[in-house]
Amino acid sequence: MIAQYIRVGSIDEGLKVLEEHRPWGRVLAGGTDLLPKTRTARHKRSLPLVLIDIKRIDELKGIQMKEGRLCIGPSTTMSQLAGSELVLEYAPVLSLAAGQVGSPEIRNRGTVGGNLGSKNTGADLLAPLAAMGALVEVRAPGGTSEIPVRDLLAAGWQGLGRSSLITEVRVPVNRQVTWGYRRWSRESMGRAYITALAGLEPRGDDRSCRFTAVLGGPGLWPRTFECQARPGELSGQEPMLELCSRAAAEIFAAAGGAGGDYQFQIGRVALAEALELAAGEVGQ
Amino acid sequence: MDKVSGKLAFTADLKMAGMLHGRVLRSPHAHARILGIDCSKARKLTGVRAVITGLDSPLPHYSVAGQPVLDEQLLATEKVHYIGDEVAVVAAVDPDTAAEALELIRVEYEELPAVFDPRQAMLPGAPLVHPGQESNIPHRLEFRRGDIEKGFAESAVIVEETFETPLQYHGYLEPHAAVAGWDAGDRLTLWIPMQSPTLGRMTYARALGIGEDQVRIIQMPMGGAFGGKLEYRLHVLCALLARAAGQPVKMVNSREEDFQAGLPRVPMQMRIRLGVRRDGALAAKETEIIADSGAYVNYAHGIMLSASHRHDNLYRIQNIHTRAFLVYTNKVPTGCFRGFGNPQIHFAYESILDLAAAKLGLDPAELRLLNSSQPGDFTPHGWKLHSCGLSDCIRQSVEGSGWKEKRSAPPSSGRFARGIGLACCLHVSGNRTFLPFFDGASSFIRINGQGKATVFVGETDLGQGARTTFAQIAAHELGVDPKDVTVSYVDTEISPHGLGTFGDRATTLGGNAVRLAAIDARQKLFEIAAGELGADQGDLDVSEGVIFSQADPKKSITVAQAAKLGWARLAGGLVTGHGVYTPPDVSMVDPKTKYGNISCAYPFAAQVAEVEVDRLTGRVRIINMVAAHDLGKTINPLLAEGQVQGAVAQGIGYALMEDMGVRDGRVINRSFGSYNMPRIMDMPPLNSILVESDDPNGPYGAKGLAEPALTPTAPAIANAIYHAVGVRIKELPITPEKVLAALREKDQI
Amino acid sequence: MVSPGQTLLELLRDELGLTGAKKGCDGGECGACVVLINGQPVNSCLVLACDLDGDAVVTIEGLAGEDSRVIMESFVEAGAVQCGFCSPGMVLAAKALLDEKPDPTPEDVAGALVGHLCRCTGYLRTVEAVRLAARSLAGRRGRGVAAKRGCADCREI
Repeated sequence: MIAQYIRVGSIDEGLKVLEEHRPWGRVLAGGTDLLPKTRTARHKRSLPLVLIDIKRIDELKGIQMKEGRLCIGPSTTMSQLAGSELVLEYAPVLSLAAGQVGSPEIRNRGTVGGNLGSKNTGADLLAPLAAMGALVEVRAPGGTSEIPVRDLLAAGWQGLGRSSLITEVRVPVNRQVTWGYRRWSRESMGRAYITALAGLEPRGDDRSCRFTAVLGGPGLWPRTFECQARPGELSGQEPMLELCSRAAAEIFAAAGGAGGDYQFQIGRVALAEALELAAGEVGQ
Repeated sequence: MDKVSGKLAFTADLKMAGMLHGRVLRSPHAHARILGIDCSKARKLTGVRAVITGLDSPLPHYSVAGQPVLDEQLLATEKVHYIGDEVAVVAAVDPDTAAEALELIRVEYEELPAVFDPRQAMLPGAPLVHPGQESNIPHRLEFRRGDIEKGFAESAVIVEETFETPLQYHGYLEPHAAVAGWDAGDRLTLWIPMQSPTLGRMTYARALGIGEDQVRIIQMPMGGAFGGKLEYRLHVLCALLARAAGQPVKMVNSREEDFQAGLPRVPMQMRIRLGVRRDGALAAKETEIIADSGAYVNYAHGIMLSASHRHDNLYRIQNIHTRAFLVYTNKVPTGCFRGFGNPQIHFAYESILDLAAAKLGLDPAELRLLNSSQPGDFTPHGWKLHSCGLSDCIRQSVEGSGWKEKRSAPPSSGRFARGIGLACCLHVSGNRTFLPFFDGASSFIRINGQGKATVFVGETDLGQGARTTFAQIAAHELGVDPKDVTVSYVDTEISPHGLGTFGDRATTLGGNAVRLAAIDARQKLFEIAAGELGADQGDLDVSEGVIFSQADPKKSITVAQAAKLGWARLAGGLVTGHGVYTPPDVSMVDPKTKYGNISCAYPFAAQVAEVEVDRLTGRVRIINMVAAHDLGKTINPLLAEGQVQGAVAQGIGYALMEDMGVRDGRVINRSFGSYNMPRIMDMPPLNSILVESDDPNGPYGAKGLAEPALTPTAPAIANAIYHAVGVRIKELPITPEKVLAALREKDQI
Repeated sequence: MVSPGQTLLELLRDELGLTGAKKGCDGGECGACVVLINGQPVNSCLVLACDLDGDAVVTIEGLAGEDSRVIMESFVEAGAVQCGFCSPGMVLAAKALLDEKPDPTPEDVAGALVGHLCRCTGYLRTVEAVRLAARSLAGRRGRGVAAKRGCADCREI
């Protein structure tokens, strides 16, 4: 149940209040992930949550370019992210990913910070951010740290929104890579079952590309596979599927065989589709 | 406009002075003995006005719809029978307090071995769900027609398969809700979204141990029903609380509760063995059905009967042997859902027909046309098909879908494969099978001094537009504008105690009664007009609100004027017409043989589905649907097509998407996020063809439509998938995982 | 004084008597509770009542202007209203869509309404209704009738 609602005006105040109400404090951003959770049978009177609303903190808003990195405030909604000129310019795959989450109603409230802090390994923004080598700035009572999204699972992911706050998401801009993105869901408006990114970075005159594959989903923390792809491997649907099957197999093996046969199958197919999109743009 | 502007009040929108909020405490166990219930803390909580358990006072055993096995009690007394079973109810000043009170109730359970698979439950030695009975099989049936051995002996091809259909949740947008209040004199009023206020009144009176005349049901607008809003315990529990608290009580299911403790579609396992002669004639059919009743019978016995014999009348087949078993399990009780057993059995029957067609080398449409029932047929079950547009439905859907070219197109070897499939079905227009009282309808129409008519009929509008149709029929006979006709919501204090809307009966039976009432009212108006105009009553006609003499059209008065004169002559009484319609030549089935003409009109349908199967992911995309429905006569094409579109959407969900996911008796998918119902982008283009076979019994020839529109969709899709990639999925829903697994298996052979 | 867990939906229905927004699932999955906040459609079941602060909230009851009436009539005329439970939410989402895209394609309409479940109609007529509304509204603007966009057409609470 929701025992209290507290609106905070600054990051420090937010951290202070979180600390005061441990272990019941939860950061409330858009609420699209958190509020349904408070209504399930588990969250009855026995879990007196204290919701700490951070939406009015100015420093957590907005999107800017700073020192070659796209800096996104965690209070940015999915709609804002999808429609941002800066994002469309410097990290269009993020816009694509954000624009496919849920419904317009969900996107008008759900935030970047909320997505990252959702405790769902298949959260839509995790794979694209991991793929682009993004970092999150996290502030806790003990201090501030900058953590690569790829490493979040082992480094503070569980504490996000409970004992720490995301204060900024930083995306390095790399114009050399072209990303293709595919999202596969079992339901017509459902959580992602697989998020797949395929990045191509043309190298040298031999028309080979550096190929980066990222797969994420429920039970599958986003993992990366990289290799040099020869032109022959990118020359058509079949070789691309072949390449992506190899990539997916490595990713799933590294994940300890997570997800099962069907998730792997979707993973390799979605990856191949993402690769086709990227290859199409690169003009291979 | 009231609906779209948000002005129409649904049950959950009602507010009354002193109204309390009720909640249900539900069992967390599938099967357990209740050792004790401690409500002391709950009762002491500030704001709680009533707490009731099954242990407080004796609650009678009852059943719905006169079903002979009295297996239900309003609240559990000795045992709970499924996860979600009602154990206690509380009423409090606000919903939060009521929720808190629930948490303060301590129930001591002793878990018992539970049974979830009907096949297991049928075995001797299985845990008994209802110990008062001998077994877990409260109903079984068996019948034979013709000579089945001879039929199989004559068959060139015999196919046998087992099919399985799952629970399906109704998914009405409005969760179950009820408002109850008692007057000082011990009379109950229920404001409920209820498909049959009359049946509810009977059942609830019995469940409460009071007289039917003490129960008044006021039907509220329904936010979708589809069969799921017939008798429902929440209604009576609300009444119990209102009586105990002495104040009106409102109860509304959470969506999660509604998933857990609604009355989803009866799952069935169906084995069919079908023999077909060399010339394509259906020779013999042996069927065994195991129907999963869940914890209580509810309407499942009627649904099982429906699944057992209705489809046998679709094609001409003489030699039949069928056995069916209704089995208790410790799962959510199952009940009525659009189609009433037909979607389940037609999935099996229409799938196996295609298997037979393939073996014989016959086109599936050809096989069906060869065997189609025809108008005038008298079937082995005793059905009299006065009208039958099945052949037309098949031909027109085949034509409208490009069937010939697509069936003969070479199979694709690429990632995406296309296929086209056909399935047919039939239904009833009201039926006499298991409700002993009557089948038919009654209506009366009052006309006021302004010439406006009000129609009272016992058949309810579920949102499908019955009130519009009734208004149209009445207006047509009265010669007035439909805008001048209001159809009253059902109130058992005022309306005829009709059976209500289910079994596809509203248009045919309710419509006929309205038509007769309107004709009667018109006659009375003519009587008055004849006197006024000095004309012969037989000479009068009415059009656009004006009654005139056909011989001398200048002699005229308006309907309003005639009605006003009537009002004066009746000393304030309004001109009222009565109509009673009893379908002719309709009978109960023989209790043993199940033989009997159960309905006065049978609608038929054929649907063609075109699909694209993704061999890499198993995902099936529906490219096109053509649906041809023999509805006798189209009274309102907009409404009729609306029913087809909505039904096909539900059929697509049933076929490909919807899975409640029960594990160890628990419904896993208890929200719209995980229970995947079709959304706006899931609907394919749909060409709806309305075939008019002009039934002699229907009003203007009209038969039912809304239910059969769902039935052919799943088998048409299954057949299309088979055509596309050669895999036959025998278990719904046909998920991408199943298709992919089947494709892999096929490739390995 | 609202309780911390009370949603905007509950505030509207239980305290302000605005029952046009419906509680279909209480989880943001069905769209029956949709209202406009600052012109944008949101699930009011996922907004805490305490969370509002000078925001402009428009419910179905607040769609009072001519444009809104045109949209509602289009839904009725196209046969897109059966039981009507999902309709208020759909109409509000349609209004927001048409305010942003006066000439939406069927894909635009589907994208805007993906969060709205309907179990009665099968959606085909819903798409027609929104496109009909778009044409009717364009017709009105073409004739120079003053057609205000955004919340000028709405009553805010």
